[in-house]
Amino acid sequence: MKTRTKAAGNEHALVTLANGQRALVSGGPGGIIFQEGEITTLFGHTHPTSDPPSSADASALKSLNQSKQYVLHGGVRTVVRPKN
Amino acid sequence: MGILILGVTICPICCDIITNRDSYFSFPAFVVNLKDPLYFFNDTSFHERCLKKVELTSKAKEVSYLYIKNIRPENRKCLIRGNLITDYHRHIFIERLASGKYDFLYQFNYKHIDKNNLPFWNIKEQFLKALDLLVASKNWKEIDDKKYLKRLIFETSSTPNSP
Repeated sequence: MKTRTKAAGNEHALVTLANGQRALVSGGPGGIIFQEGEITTLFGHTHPTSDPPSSADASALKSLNQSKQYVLHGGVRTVVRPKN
Repeated sequence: MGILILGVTICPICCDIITNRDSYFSFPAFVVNLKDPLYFFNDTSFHERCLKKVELTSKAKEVSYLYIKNIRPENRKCLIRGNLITDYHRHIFIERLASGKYDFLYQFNYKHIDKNNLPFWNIKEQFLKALDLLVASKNWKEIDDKKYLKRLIFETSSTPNSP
């Protein structure tokens, strides 16, 4: 994911699709848009630059009912947990 | 946010879910500094109708478009010598360091450095000094203890000063 992100400058994410399959997906430099019901789990995603995980990354976990996700940013991996 | 999941993601202005029936706008992860007036928009998605109520929206969109343009692989040109950086091991990307255009660091926002060119950079010491001041100031705050700024200083200073 790191290599793909660096090479293309686009965000990537590792997800579970609604049909249960896992997939590595690529968005644009501004992010990735998933349609309603398209994914059930977001394991993690990349930021194209060094920008660390945001509060929105933490909020997303609550909505997806997840305990964590990984964010790769500028070669660093950070575990994000839901906001209290 | 960078990741928008329709039917799940909540607009932070109205606190309602963004659906595929809405018009929406997603900002990239383009601001590191929590004290930057544009941090509110960082890595976040909103209803377009909600964004219209926020004063800084047009400025935030303008800056986010600049970020998106500058991070494209074809625009990774070194600010020191102008060469295209194709090896990411040699690549340093400078995030948004300043919001005021009269700030010395403003000129470096969203610029690139080829590590191989650092020995030829005649204002490197000035740049590093300004970063040191920023680390010590109350005008910069990150989610994780100024790690980005410290890393940028390390990466920029770890190459020898002379060829």
